[in-house]
Amino acid sequence: MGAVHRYDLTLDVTHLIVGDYDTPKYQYVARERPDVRPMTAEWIEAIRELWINDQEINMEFLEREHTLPTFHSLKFSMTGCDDRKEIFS
Amino acid sequence: MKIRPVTNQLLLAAERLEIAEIVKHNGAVYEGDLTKQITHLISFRTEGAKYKAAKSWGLQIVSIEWLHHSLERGMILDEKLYDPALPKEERGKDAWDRTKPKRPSLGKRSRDNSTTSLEGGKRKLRRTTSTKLSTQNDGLWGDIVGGGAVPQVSRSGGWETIDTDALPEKEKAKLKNFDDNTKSGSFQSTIENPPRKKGMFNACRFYLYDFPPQQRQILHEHLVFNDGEISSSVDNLLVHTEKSPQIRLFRMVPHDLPVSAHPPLPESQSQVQTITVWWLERCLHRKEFMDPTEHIIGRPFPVFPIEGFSAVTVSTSAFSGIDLLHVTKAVKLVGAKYSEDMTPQSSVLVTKSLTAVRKDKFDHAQEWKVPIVTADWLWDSIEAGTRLPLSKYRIRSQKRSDSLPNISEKVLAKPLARPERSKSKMGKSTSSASSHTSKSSVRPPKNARLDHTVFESDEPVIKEEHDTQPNGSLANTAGSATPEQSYKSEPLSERSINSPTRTVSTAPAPSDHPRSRPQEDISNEISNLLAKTKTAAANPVPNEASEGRKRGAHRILGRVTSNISTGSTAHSRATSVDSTATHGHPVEYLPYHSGKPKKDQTANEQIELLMHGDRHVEKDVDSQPPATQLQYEDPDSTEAREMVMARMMGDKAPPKTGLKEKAVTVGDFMDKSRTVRRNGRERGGLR
Repeated sequence: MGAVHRYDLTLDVTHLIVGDYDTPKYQYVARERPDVRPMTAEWIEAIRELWINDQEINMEFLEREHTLPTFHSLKFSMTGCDDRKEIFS
Repeated sequence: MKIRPVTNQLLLAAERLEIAEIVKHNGAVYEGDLTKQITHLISFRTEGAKYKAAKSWGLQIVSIEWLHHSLERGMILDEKLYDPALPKEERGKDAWDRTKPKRPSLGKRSRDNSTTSLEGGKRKLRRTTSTKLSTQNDGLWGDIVGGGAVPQVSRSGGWETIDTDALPEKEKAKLKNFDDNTKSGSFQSTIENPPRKKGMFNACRFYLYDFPPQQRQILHEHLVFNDGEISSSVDNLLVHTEKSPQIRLFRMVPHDLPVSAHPPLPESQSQVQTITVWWLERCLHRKEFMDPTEHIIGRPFPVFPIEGFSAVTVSTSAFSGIDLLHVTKAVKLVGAKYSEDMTPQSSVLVTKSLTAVRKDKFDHAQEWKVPIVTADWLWDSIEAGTRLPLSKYRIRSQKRSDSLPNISEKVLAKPLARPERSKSKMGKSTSSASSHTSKSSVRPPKNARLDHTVFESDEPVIKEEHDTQPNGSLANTAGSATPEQSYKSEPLSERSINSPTRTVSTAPAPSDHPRSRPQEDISNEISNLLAKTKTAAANPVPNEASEGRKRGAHRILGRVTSNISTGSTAHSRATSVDSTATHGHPVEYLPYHSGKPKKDQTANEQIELLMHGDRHVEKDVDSQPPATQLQYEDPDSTEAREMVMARMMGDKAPPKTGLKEKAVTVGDFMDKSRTVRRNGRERGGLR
């Protein structure tokens, strides 16, 4: 579909398709490459689907749609909020 | 999102909920209880049961800043940098390189890659930014890129505004530090960033009023994504505007918030435009900045629901995408009913443009007397706050008259033309048929008639025959003549198509025989034919198909027969007779095959054979060529041949010359010698 795929994270990479966030690549991108967008694999599939069906591709919209949710697949809990103790002083 | 200062106060339950919301909205799960499945514990302190449990389980423990910074970055940042154990100022330091711009989007990416690669080619992961940022490369960059700093500075100012407003005091201080560090420490690095195209909301500052946190978050994302700035309060909108007078200020409100509920803007902020989410949607959809004054959609409706709209059912045409969505929403907002389907109950059909109305909708609107108006009616009504009369916006049918009647005429004409054409065809065939008959008034018309039918394709044959019957009966004084004709033509056409070569002997047969045939048989045949025609008309497809199959099979058989045994010929003939004339006179065909005696021949046949044998041989010659030629025939030669034949029959011209002549015209594919031989044989056999 006209894009370039690289195994290595090079300077001209624009999108990182993220499978797991716990990797050096992810961490590096998070830290040093604000210009790289983390994406889900579905992004590619979605575009491909549109492409095959010859439909209009709204790149911008799709890009936003399939940006990897920041906390994708994480589970959170919180502590410290029900404590009367002053936390920051 | 807002983070209230947590100093000296406990985190409110609402806060907690908000965080849970944010977390969920970004693809994660929030659980109150700490289990081993939890990946991250957001902790505000470094003690407590939860904290200790998480620590012993090796879970990631982060402070709230991690959450917010990660959100800002859009990726998970290094958790270790946000350890709650760290002093607040230290948290998140160097978690990510904020000095680099976020790339706005695919579409707007400038071709900076090429220039970037000038610097270091394809730099791999191994090379860290710290080296990159501190080397003289950057100076080089500054020279190359030059003016890159300007947008960059304003940009960083952008997020500074957001953050300083949103974050607590200490955060602010921290950020300032951070920012100072950035500016003093690696100012060059800002210059490094090549200039890029600005997002559509560049130099726009927004203040979001009265949105639930989740929505706020989405709006925030979209606006920042496109280089918009966000202010946390109306007052903040005006901050620093003196510095950049070209900045546009907007106050965004939910579209369903009545104007009366909007907080009044102070005098000094008159340049602030109030817009709705719809405006943002429109902009995002068109991928360009649109002036909110352009369209009512995007500005808050002055009044809604609008009086008089409650009884209105609106259908639309030619709207698509975001426009359709807005129309439907707007229609509902003003109190009207939106009907997705166009029904007679629709009170008005709103269309985007007059030419874009779908034909069927237009027609139905006309039929049901549903007025068609342009979208301006809706927009103007909304703007005016009252239901405006339709008349001004009405799309008159006359406007479309140039195209519409034409179309309908065409549609009408088509079905009309059909019958006409077929009529004329029929007329032609009738006339030609009658001309034949008239010719035949002198002589028996058989051959001519036969030829004619033969050269027509299936369907016309049937039709024509059907047609000729009354016609013929008019032309002919003898009532029986026509039936005879049609009767003959049918089997002959079948046969000749089947086996061209064989016709040599067979063709004359029908022409002679019917005379001797009893009247009842003829009428039987007629009824047969009629029935056939009817069935053909009733379900032409299967009929034709079967006919075609039949034909194909016969053709093959016919070809085969030309060079193989007569046994098979006889067989095929029999079949063809069966299939065509349902109740049979196989008699009439069989005898002419060949002179060979046949076991299955009835006495009748044999008698007939004997009776007509002589003439048959003679006639043979006449009829053979047309039959043979049938597949390659064209009308002219048909005419000519008919004439010749008529003459021949009329004059009783010497058959020999006729044969010669015919043989020449007929074509070379016929095996003349065989025909002759066969004739000879036949003759011999008959004698």
